[in-house]
Amino acid sequence: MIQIVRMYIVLAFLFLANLLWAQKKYTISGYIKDNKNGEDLIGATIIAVETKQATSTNAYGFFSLTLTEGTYTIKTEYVGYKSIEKKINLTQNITQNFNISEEAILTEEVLVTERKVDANVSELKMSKVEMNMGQLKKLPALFGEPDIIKLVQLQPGVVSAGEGTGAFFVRGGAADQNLILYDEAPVYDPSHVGGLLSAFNSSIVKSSDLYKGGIPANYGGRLSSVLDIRSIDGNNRRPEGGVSIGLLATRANIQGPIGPQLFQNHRKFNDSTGKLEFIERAPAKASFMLSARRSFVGYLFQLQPNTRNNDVYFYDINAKVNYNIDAKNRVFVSGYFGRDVLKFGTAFTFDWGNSTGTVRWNHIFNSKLFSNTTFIVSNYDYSLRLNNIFTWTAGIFEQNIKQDFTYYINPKNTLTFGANIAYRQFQPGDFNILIPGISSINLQRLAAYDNAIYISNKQELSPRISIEYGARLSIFSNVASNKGNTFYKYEDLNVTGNQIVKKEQYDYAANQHIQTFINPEPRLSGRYMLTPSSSVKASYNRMVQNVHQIVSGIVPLPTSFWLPSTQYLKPQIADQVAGGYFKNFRDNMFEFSVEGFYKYMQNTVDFVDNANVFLNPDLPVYIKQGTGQSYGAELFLIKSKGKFTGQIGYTLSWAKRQVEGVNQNREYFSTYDRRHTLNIVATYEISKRWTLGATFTYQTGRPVSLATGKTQIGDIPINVYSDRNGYRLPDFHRLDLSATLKSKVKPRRWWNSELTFSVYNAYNRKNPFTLIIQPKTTDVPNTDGTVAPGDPIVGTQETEVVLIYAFPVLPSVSYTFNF
Amino acid sequence: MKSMKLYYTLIIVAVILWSCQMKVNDYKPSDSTPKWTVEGLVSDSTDMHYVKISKVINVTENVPIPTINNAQVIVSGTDGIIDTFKLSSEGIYLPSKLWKGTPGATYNLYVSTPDINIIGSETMPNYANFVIDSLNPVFREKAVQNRVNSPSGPGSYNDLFFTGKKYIRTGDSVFRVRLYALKELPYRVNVFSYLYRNGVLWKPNSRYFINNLQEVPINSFFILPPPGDGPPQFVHFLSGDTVTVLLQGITDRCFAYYAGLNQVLQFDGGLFSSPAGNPINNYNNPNVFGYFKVARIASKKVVVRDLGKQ
Repeated sequence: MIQIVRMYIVLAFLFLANLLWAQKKYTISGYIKDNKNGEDLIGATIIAVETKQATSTNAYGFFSLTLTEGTYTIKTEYVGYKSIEKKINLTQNITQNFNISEEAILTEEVLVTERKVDANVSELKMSKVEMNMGQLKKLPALFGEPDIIKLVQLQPGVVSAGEGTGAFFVRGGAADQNLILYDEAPVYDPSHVGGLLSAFNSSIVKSSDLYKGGIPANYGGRLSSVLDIRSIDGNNRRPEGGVSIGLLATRANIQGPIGPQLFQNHRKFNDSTGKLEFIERAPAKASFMLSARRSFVGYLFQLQPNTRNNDVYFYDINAKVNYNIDAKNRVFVSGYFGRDVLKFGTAFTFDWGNSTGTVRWNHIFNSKLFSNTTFIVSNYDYSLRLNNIFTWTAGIFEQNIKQDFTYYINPKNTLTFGANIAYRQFQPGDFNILIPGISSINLQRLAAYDNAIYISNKQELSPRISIEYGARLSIFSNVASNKGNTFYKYEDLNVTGNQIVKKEQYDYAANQHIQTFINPEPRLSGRYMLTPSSSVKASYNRMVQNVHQIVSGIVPLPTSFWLPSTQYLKPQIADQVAGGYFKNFRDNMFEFSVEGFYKYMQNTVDFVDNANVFLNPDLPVYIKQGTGQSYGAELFLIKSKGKFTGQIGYTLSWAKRQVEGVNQNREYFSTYDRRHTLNIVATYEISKRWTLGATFTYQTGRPVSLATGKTQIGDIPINVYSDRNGYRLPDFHRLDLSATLKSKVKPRRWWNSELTFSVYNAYNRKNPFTLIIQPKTTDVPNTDGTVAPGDPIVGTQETEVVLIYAFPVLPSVSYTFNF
Repeated sequence: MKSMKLYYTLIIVAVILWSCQMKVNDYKPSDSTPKWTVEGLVSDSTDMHYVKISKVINVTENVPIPTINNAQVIVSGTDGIIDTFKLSSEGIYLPSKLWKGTPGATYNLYVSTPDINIIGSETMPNYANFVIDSLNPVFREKAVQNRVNSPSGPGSYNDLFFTGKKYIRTGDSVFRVRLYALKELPYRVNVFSYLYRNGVLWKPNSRYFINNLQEVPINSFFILPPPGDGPPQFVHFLSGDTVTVLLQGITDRCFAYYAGLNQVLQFDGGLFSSPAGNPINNYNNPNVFGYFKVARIASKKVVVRDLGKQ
């Protein structure tokens, strides 16, 4: 700890030294936007050519570059976009926005990756993956529905929970250790149809960044990763939209300017070029985006008279309004509402979903100080109803106000700082029995404030060396719910079962403060440029997590629920160090990186064997916390230019846990342990109209706890289990293929379309979802029809092992229409 | 006909999506699975000590559990007891001399074979007044299934139900053995309970036995349930039957082991439930399953009389 304090004192001196270095300087600031639709471009570079001083746009497209007085050639750089050069005579602070256009000539060969040209090498950040949204649409998709989470699962260091699930694990962490943000609002269950699809409609996602390590100080609250998804703002020049029809869902989206531009003619036929071209108009001050998606599989039930009252469907709606009040103020309002419903007549209904809302205000105080104020609400809840028998509801609700500042001190220092105050209400479960005489189970509701302040400075020490250092202070307070809370101290029997003994009782009045956990989270990262095309990077971060998802199995279900840190559930803490070598080849056509990481986790949550976690008021008896560690190496190669593009990621890793009371106190592999993971993603443009896509994934089998032996105690047969997660399922591998056909380009055609054919699991690999041990069944039917294949054999105690797998080979087709 | 086709299509789609399965023929125990089972008992009764040693087989095998008959088995205690057990029958080792354990003493079990060496250690609980006060059959009017109306009152009820011969036909009237077990104990005691009918271990009703025990004040009874699953089966005691209750007073750790074993039987983990696992035993070798139990013994018999309605 003393060493950390010393380190920060030294860094503070470095920082102050920079502040004192004062000459006559002025600042150029503004936004960089896509000329086609007015969307902010994140991570675009602004360079003063003469001095080679540069900066990048932030998450809102804003930049600020302070230079000494003089005349400069200011150049923009963004892959897939034309560079703009502009002569600037910098004798005062000026505001200059840049609208840059896609490189039309190269669009057939260059994938628009929406990232800085040499970001892999030059950016300070490591362990960060920017999802390629352009590539996503060309890749094979389950049921023809592109899914951002499925792309996340193909990145090095990330593994999926299994076939058809939306859960993912990052560098040995649990699914609940991933902070998933949609327009800055946390999404607590990012899945539809139990994980077949994610909650995010890919057609309106502008950017999606995954941080696996070196996590910036403005993020906090989860141990293992941050997935920051941001939606498009809406075209402020002209209306556009699209409809996509797939086997599982249909989606539609529309966006455009709010104002007279919405109804004006936007295209004209250019006789000289023989093409339909956009009419250049001034952008509107406001724009909107509206998108909706719904599955229609449930309509199959309508065709059958006796299933007409049944239904299964999901839907989600995304909406956003963006208003430029003036040059210094912008307001965004964004909302998401999604729901899944499973209904069997009036007898049984199960529905669950998320809703989020974000109100964001960007304000430029001056050319150096940028402010973002965000108010966020997020809700997740589920409800099961069995008519006249029970209702079961649970959920979590969050309100959060966040203030972020970016202060561009000088070209060598960018300071970010801010704070957030979040209030969460937890409803672990209300199980109301509707039968008279039987008691209901209402787990007490809980509440907590999760507050934080942070500060971080990105500093260029020399042209070769850059560092970013900062810290976050997490202040988490339990407060009693508005009905008050009662907690117990349990006798530590170190055992499950019938022996739950409450020793002491603690009562708290409504809203009474219970306990506060304060945890500092230092963050540090550095980059050293070896050559203009290669660098080494290192990072360290401490993360603290104060909300915990209680999952009975290994796969989060909609019925999983969240709990705050309490005296029984201490905050989880992770320290991660990572280092890597980064190299680009052939004018940034190839990006290569190799990263090593080591993560040590405290208070990781696990459960004693055979724990019964649902609707259990004595959950503290079953929860155990211990330590975990994961380490490994990730190799990543990306080819981002040319007709053939793609990426290969390989991960060698270990993930272990040691929890008192679990696995006889011995260390064990966590369920997130995969020794080898290989992911290959490729697209190939055969012609202007045809594109082929393929993904291949391989993972070492998942460790599970299974009965593998049999013995007798007394004269009772008993199954004997492996160690916790001591058995490996067979390896997982799968090849998916796709072919996309674009519509013909015709001179006067104002629309375009795509027809995508996909084959999921092309070679029909039976990837294990799990193994089950069951009484032996027969393969031979009885001639009298009383015994069918798969029926248990009568009169035997023999058992057999059956592998359950989710999807065989699945062809699908989807059609997308855009205007 | 058209609707039937649709119906079958839906079924097929559902099967494809959710129920794809295939048999696994090469399922083998993992390296971390225990390979031997050692059950031991040392008590404060002269005729209740034994050690049973067997192997763990593959869960899919359907052969008798092999026993280990060439082990050296030694029990020693802090009370000065040391005894080399002798092989008595297949896998079962008994003391070479008469002795009884001492409450509060710690006993060690040494087992040595060419394949394994293990040590188990346990202290005999020092429960005071570890006796069963009375065992009284009580006629009960209500049907046994109606657990909502289970009796309550002073002492610890052990809901063992039995029916007089003349009521078997209707099955709606039963007798109850009211077991005032250990009612004077001022502290919690862990009891491993056996119930015998005419000298034979009475099992079929034991699941019900466990469930009800969760409701009794001392909440510390335990007995292994019968194999298989399903609702309790009621095997009625008849007038003239001798019912014997045998209690073994055990340690917290021992209770935890058998409670865990019971949970494994009832609740074997699975994809969407918590992982199942072997309960923590008191052996120094992770390759060994079972428990070295050191117990106090209390026992009582009662002869059931057809008392008629009371």
